[in-house]
Amino acid sequence: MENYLIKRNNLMFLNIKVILFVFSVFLSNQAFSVELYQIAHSKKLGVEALIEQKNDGWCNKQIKIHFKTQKESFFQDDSAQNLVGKLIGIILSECPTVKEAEIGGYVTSPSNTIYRATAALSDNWTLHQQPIESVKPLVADKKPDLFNNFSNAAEPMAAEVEKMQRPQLNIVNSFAVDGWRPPLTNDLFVLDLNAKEKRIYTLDKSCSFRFTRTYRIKEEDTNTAYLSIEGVSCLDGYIHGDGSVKVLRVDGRMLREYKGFFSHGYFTGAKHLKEARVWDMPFIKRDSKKITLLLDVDEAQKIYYVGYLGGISGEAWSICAETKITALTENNQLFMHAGKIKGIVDHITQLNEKYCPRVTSFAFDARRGISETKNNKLFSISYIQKNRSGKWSYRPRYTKNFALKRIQEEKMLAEKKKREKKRLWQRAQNDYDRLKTADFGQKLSYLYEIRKLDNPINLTAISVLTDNPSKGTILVAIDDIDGDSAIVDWPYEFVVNDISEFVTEEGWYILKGEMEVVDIKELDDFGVPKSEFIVETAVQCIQERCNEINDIEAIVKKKHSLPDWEANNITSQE
Amino acid sequence: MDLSNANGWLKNKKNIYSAAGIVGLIFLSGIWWYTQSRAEDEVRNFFDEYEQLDSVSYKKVSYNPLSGTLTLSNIEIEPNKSDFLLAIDSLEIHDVEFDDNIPEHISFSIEGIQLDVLELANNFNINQSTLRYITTERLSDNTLATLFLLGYYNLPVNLDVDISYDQDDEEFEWNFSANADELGELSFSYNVVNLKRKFFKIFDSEWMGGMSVAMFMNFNPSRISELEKIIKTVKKSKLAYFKAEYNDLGLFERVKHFTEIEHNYVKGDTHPFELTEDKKRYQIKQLKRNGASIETAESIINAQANFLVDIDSISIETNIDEPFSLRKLEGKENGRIMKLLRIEGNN
Repeated sequence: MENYLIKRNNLMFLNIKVILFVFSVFLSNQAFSVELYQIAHSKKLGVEALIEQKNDGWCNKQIKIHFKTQKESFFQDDSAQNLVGKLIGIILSECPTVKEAEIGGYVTSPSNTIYRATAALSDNWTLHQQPIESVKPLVADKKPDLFNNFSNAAEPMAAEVEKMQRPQLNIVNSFAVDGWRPPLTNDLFVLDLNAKEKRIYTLDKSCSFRFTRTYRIKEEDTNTAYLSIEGVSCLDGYIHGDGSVKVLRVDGRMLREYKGFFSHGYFTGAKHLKEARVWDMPFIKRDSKKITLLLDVDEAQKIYYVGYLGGISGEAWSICAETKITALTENNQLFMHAGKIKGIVDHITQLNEKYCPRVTSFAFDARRGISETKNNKLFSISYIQKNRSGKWSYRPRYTKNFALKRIQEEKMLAEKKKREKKRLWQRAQNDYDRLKTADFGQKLSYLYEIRKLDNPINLTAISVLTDNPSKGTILVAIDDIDGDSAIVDWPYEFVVNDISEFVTEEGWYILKGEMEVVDIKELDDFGVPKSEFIVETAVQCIQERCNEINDIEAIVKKKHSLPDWEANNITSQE
Repeated sequence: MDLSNANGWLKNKKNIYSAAGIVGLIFLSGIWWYTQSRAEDEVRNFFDEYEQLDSVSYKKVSYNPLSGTLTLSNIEIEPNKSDFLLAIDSLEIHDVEFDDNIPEHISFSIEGIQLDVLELANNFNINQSTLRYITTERLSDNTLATLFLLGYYNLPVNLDVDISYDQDDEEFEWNFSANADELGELSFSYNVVNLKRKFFKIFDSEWMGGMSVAMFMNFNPSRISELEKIIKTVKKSKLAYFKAEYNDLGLFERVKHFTEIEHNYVKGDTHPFELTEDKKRYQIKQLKRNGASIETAESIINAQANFLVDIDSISIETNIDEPFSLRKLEGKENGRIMKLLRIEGNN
């Protein structure tokens, strides 16, 4: 049981995590209810140890310890006794006044108590199990609600704040870029899985803050922190507007205070920064490093202009921290003409002037989709600079025209496809011309990739001559099936064997196998000796005598997988 | 007259007749024996003269003095240094009449020339030509392969030959007939006049041998000149009559069946053998283009069309009033020859 004990200055014990709260600075003059705090847990044993705290804290003469376990067997041996012995050592080092302890155990919820015991210092902390009937729930069967305990916490403001209008650009005719359209509500805001943030609520849970700067604040503090807001509005449950927001620890201590502008739950900068006011623009998505927001729409040219909120300057997500603007469009042709490129560049410099007037250089790229991949890049200028006279310019060497390259590639690809199609069509036409004079067997061979169709009389003659079965492929009409054999009705009567896998119904078949003469002296009226055909494989014809192959155009189409091919129609290839 | 004497006379007369009959029988059997023995000797001498005694064997020789027919039975011919054996049931020589190497009359029949096609195919490189021909889809020009494909594994063939030459009228007549069971019968009749007797030099074995040497081994202008003379002799003769006839006994039925399979024919289709009116018109036109008269072309093509529909017999024969010079046929196209000889096709 050594593994369950965590001692000060000795963290060698595995699988036990002890969390002791410093209660000495805890709140006073409050109306408290019972609270449970985890003081240790063991993954190996599957048990959590929690200590019960009342309004005067937990350090009393008598304490209550709860064991929340995953399996009842924990209470059926010495495990509970051993754990209590080790926990008491730690507890006494923090609170020497403890003389007695009441221990309760449950599997899922305190209301389902399955174990009850007492232990006392006088008895060397030996557990004395009590009858379970007398057990009452130690705490209410509800999730601890920390906020109800703090009457002097900041007043919940969110419920009273003015509802702000949903931000949206005035788009008359929405258009898609690679299937993407700007979101209509914040519900579509997509968080990158890697983009960690903690949502911290006001006490009444009506409004929340997207807390993304967790450094220098303990995680457990953010887990229990709450929000106090002043002046700021709320939109879709997120702070949105200008005002003041405080993040308070559970004990009321202030962890952070933000004054300025907020958008969609994010702090976007101090009030003196004009560029921080971005709440009137829809946010599109957030990844680990930046938030993408919609800056403008050019419906005529079908371009969405998006900017980015970076997070390098302190606590705020600043639009001027990520100095790049992106044009989202499917219109490759925009980047084929210098005049149109100039128009776009002029527009993005105006956008930059509008949102980040103090920024004198930024980057630009154009993409054919919201995702940032190599393949959808159309155009980029890595450095657009504003000179002293206030004029924006960029150097050609900083420019890459992927669209032009892509169009050239697409043109080449289209040409290649066209040539390939022409080649395939011509090949199909050649086949068609050849098949026009082909006989039935040749056409059948062409469609079903049979080397050649044999005359069964030839096969029989070869079998007679070589005194061995002769292999071949024949066209037959099977008339009378009897188990694994059948009688061939056409071209003349003979028996086929081993058909069960291939022939299940009467009809026309192409059979591959071997012909064997049964009796050379027993000739029919046409001089063919009695023989049998052993089937190896078979193909059933669609029509009588496989007449489907007489539709030459159809079989050429099928053979070349060219459903739109037409015989003697060269113009369609263009 | 004394009746007893009369009875005795009658009795003696009977005895005399009986004795005479017996003597006659003995005489006849003696003649029979003599002729049989003589026939055997003659036949032996014949093969001996041509140094073929080792190649030819026969079980029996018989001669019928009444009909003048010499019969050799169960003949086996095995050419020197060859595994090939030709068996013949019988050879009947009805008449052989030469006058100084001029065949005034030759008549003989061969019954049961046993063509073992299977053995022939096996002997003649089955892995080469025959098999190759058989594995092709179509009936080929290779007779052996074709016969084999059509199931003629054993083929007894019968021949009838009748040749006569009238030295006074210089008229030569040749009748030939070959038939085989389940196959067919083919016969030719050929009659020419003005055929000079020097043509029959070709029957002179010495002449034939010398000609072979002259032709293939030792080029001898005088011999070639002799050959040219023979050819001139033939050219100077006149064709009085010619007829070729075929009666089907199964061959064309089998060919028809094979062709039906080859063309995936089922009832209701145009039969691959059928000569449609268009095809007939085309073929008639072709014959006319080759110089045939419309009557000749139509009769031949119609006979062919009828034969292919109802396989039975087909013949072509000349219909000329006067003998026609063979020289005039030299270098002429087939159609023109048909026209000149007024050939008719019949079924």
